[in-house]
Amino acid sequence: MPTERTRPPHDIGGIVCGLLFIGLGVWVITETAGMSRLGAVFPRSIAGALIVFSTIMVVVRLIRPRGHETPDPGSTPRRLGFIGVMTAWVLLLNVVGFFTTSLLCFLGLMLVAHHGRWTPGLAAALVLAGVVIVTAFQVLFTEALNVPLPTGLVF
Amino acid sequence: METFRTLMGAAGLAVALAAAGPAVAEYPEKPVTYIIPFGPGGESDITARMQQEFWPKHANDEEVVIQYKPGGGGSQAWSQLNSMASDGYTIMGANVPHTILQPMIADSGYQTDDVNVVHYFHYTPDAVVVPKDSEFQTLQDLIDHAKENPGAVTFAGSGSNSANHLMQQQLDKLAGITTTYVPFKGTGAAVQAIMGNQTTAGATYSTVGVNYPETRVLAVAAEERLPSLPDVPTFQELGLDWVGGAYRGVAVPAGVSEDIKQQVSDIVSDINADPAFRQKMEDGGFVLTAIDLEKMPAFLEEQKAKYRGIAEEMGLVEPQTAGSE
Amino acid sequence: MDRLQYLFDALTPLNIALAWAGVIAGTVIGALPGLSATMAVAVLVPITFSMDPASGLIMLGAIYTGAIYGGAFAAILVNTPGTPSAIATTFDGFPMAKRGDGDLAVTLAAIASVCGGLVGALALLLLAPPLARVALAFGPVEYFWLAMLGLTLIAALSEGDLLKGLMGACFGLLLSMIGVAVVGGDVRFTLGMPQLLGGVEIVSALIGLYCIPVLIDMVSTPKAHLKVSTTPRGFRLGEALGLAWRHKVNLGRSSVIGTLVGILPGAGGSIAGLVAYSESRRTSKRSRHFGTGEPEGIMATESANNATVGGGFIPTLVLGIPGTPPDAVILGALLVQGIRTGPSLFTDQASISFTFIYGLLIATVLMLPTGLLIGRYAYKSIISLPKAVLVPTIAFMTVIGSYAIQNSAVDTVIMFTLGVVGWVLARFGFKPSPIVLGLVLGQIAEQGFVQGWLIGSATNDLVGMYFGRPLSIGIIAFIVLSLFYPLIAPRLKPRRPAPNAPETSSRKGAANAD
Repeated sequence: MPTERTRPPHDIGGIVCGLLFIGLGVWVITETAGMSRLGAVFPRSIAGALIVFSTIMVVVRLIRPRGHETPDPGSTPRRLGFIGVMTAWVLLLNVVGFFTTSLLCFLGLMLVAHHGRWTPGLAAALVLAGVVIVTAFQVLFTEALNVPLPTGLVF
Repeated sequence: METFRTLMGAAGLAVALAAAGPAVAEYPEKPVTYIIPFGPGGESDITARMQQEFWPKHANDEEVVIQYKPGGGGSQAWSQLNSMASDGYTIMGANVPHTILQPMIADSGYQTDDVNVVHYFHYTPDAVVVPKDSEFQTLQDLIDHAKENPGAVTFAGSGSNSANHLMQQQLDKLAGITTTYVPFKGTGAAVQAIMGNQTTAGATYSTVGVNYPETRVLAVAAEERLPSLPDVPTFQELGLDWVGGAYRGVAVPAGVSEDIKQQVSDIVSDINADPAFRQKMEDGGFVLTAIDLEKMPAFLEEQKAKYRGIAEEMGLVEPQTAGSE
Repeated sequence: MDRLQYLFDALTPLNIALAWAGVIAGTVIGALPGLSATMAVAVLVPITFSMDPASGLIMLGAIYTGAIYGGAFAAILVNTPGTPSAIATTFDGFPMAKRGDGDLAVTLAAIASVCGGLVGALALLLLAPPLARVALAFGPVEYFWLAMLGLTLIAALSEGDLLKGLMGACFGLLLSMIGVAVVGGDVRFTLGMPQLLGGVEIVSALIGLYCIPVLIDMVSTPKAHLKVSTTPRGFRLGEALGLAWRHKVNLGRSSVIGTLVGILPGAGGSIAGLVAYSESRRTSKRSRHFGTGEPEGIMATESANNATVGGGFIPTLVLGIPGTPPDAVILGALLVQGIRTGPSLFTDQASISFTFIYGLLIATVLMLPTGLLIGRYAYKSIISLPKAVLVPTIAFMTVIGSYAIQNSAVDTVIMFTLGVVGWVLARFGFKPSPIVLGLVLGQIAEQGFVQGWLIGSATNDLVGMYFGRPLSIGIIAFIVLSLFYPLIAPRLKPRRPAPNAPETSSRKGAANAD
């Protein structure tokens, strides 16, 4: 991470975010060009404010370096694993089907979240728990709450 | 056989039975899912709930289950309609002018003709509404005031480029006045502004006048006076040639067989013919219509032409050169 | 006196059973992120068709009030407000749970919710017709200023980095503008995708912004999600009651704020909790500790958000204008049953309306035992489940919950995307709460501002429109007070140094300690 270099560390992450926010503000203002006056006034003012705040922040941080709390330690592969499984989950549920996707991703997240040793007994218990929880929610939502969960290609 | 006898009791269906043969007795044989393209509590929901109560009586003793798919003023649901199961057990609410205006003004993910409506069962006429204690007793009073003070009369309505907005524009044009339209999020918020005297008047629906005792209706845009508002003149009586409002109906996904389309249309017709249902709807200020599958093409052509003309006048769309729609 | 008669009508065994069943179902539903009161009420509407109208209404009202309370569990235990009204509960609830006081937080939430619920329901019972005028007196400009008052909380939520807080709030405000604009009708910032026409759904965004970062950090270490105390401590009811008694002024003030703000259709539910939190923080001796697990913060929000239930029914029943989405469903159910709302509901149809209001009061009281038991169970399962089960289960609830709000897979994708964006931004010092504030208040602020501008231009009095209306002036005064009070307060009175230790040490019999 960029924040852990020299003594008064620059808040490089914050500065990069600030520049991105300035870009966002500029984009919003260009987008409002084609809008009616009613629809454009608010986004334009907010985008202006965003640009002003971001510019002040970037300038202040460049002049007077000030880091912020370093992110907690912890396993980055597991974090990325979580994000990967969740990405698959939200993208596939409409295509493959809600039940199948949820069951597979549920088991996938168990793999990511379990830190201890794996034993066959534990694995069996966790798989069973996963099947029960996913099935129970599926039934609760489709039968009791009338939520049309997507069925997709499989189920 | 009990169910069969109930069926026979429904007058309209007896005719349909004769026409379509034995297949009629088979649909529906399980509950039908009825998707409302708005959130719960709006007029689309309320009228569907009223149908829900009468549905089993006219549909083989099967229930209808109501689900909601709100978002984008209905466009989220309508853009997904044709990817839904086409076995006839999924139906969806559909609204005019929404399904006509939305695709015309922006890419809303569907085209007007993608929504296969089988029956428009009621409509709520446009109405000009004022607070109960308003100084304006007639629409003419309001028009006179607007003539003397151009732009000063404000109308609260639901959303921009909506049926309400269109009515205000038509009123301006036909009466030769300039007024200000103030869009609110939904009819409830507009009514709140009207009753609170935040705006001069409301460009809204006749149901508002019926359901909110603290308001007074100056005119309705129906062809004839409403049973629920017998003392309120129509626009036409006042010399303003405008008939309009929001129609609500039932649509089915593409691929539903003609036979089942007809049957859904017939069930809706039968419910409309039920005196108890009629009573409830009319008490609520709704006007029942009988635009079934047969009358649908002509109705839609007429509405599309009407709203395209108005949208062009308002500058919402470029004047059409080729007849692409 | 005949009003008392309706109390006995409400007290039939059937009605009490329905109220209790409603409270239980509501609390469980509210505790699951994404399962909203609106959905629960809508599902049960057809069942009430076959019931006596008053009984049906009692059950719907009980579910609603239970669900608002149940939202506190998810807010406290997994940092996920299930409804916008529980946003401020996370500010102090989750820090309390993290340091091992989750049981106390849940019990406090139950007590505060009952207090707030009772105040709201009593206002509905005794003062409904006059209070309904408040909703009518509130015009677009007042809504705008109210949203601004909510935004003053940014200063408190930025955690020492005001510029980043303001940037986050602007980002949230811009997010709220995605989709078809209510005013103007423009299609804004959808990147050409029809799926975004409906905009960012607020509850799914809340789930994403608050819950996904917690999950991402949960998987990264083997440490327990919440710190667990080694000694079993029961409900910690005595301690919680003591705290509640000591902060009775806070509870009362927050309940009144909740009732009054709850009356405002469309905005009340989400803003009431924020305003009550902000006022409680401003007046508290321990305001520095707000946001780090301060019991007063939980009490303020939870009493305010349950007070909005009764408050929201006031415009619903008196004017026919639903205060919140669940109110809209209940109003629809009334219309289907042929019951007309309006002032006559309290005279011609008094048997229905008063039986319902008493039913709501009964349900609110039943919330205490129900809430304590369910809360205990929820807390136990959260601390005892291994991470390998807890993480996927919570993740599953975020997916299914965000889907079910509008039955839309797009909302689920938005939920997760915002969650990841929020996590990345949080690593660089941009906290999620200012973003959420902007998102929740953006539409209210924009619509109020533009509507006010239209009406002001029509009457040629823009300045008077924004700054000349008595109610507006009142709200502006509060905004100024919120912004500058921290600067002037130390000069007004010498303050005792606030104790540093978290205010949770058990004080038995604290009822007469203050």
